[in-house]
Amino acid sequence: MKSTSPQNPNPLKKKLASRFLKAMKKLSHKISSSPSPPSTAERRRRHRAVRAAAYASMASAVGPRRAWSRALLRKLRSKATATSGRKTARRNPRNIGTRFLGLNELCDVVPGGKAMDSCSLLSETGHYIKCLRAQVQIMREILDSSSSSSSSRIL
Amino acid sequence: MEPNVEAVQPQFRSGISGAKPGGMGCVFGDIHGLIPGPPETDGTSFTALLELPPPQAVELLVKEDFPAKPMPPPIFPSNIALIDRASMFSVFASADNPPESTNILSASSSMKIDSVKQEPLESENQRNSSSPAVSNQSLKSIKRKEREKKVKESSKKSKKVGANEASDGSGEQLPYVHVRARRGQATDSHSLAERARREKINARMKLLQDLVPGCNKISGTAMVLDEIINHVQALQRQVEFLSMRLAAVNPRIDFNLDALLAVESESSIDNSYLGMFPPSIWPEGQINGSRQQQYQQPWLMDPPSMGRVDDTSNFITPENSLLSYDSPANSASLHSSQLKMEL
Repeated sequence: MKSTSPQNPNPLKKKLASRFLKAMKKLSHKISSSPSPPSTAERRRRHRAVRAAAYASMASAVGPRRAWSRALLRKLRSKATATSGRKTARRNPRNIGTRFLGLNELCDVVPGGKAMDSCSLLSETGHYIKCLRAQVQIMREILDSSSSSSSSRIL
Repeated sequence: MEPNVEAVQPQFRSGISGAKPGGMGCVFGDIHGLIPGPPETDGTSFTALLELPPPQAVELLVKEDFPAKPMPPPIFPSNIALIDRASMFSVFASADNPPESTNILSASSSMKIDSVKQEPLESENQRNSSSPAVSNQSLKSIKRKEREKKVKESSKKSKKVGANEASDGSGEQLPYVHVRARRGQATDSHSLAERARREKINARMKLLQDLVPGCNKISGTAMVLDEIINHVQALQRQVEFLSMRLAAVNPRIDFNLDALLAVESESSIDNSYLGMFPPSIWPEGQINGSRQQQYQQPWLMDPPSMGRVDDTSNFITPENSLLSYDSPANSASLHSSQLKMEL
């Protein structure tokens, strides 16, 4: 059912939502012209496209001011151009000595975490969590609204 | 400041009565400034104070008799710098007993004096104190404590005093960052910086704890970090899962944008934009012509080219427009409504 409860006019969420919807529109045009039963490979491709669109829209909505958004876009760009032969050496090995053990795992999870010191890593993580949460909410709402509308159309 | 002042005043009073003002170095230097022109301003003895003409002495001290019985709170000019410096001796602030405070202050003053001089001080204080027997023991123990803290206190005091004096001069701008050294902790610049850094990190960790649900009850940095990592991974898995569902549902979604935007944003701006379709949008569309073309090209490119190679190119193009940081959401919603029109 459509949620008619008024949400908090969250500026971040609005930005994320609009960007994501734009991206999804483009993808849906591409998809709509393909044959209706998708093959597995096609499904996987679409899945990857949607996920990349989600992350790309999230990162671009946030802007270049955050380190994780920059790192995320860099990663997506390199994936899109499919250069797998990049040097995988760690950029800043000196950071590892100064941080304590749990942060090493955290920097693997958060994009661009390896090149940050502990303090900024923690603040970036906080912002990243906020944006991830908003993105998940948006995607859920899209799904809910679309499923509800489709079900109402069917009925 | 009031409790400090209250606690400070009895100590000052006893400090003047029981100690050698000049010998205390810079701490009680201001007392000299306050003392209205005693003959030995740099005089370093208690007896010098006694040599003052009686009315002045009485002025300085309190209305009561000079041998220090427990006196009422004096009319002591509350110099802020003095109070600052006295509050440095934070351990003294809790000392209520005048005899004890007397001894404490004399002990602190003796930091700069030779230990030899402490004995006459002690004797003077004992003469003045009301309960000599008890204060003897407390005196010894307190002085021992003070000597233990001597090194750290002196270093801390030097830093703090330097900052204080600078602050006296300038008023607002402090050249140092006031970090109070806790007892038993070193005060050199490296550890200070490290401590500041650690406190910053702890503050961020607290913020994260509030952000992640269920982290408030956990104590200990490692567990909290584990929780945070789990949370982030769970969110990323949710994104993955939802994107899979969206990809499956996608062809059936016509992305009815006005409905979606109304649900999600609930802002009047979007509704008003979507309300007035053709006339107002096209001029703005021409203003944003370049971006419009950027959007239209991939859109127009899509139907004719559905080969394998173009899959990657189409993969790229939706992201190309996103990979560049764009303008605010207003124009974005405009474009979304434009695209809907062109459908």
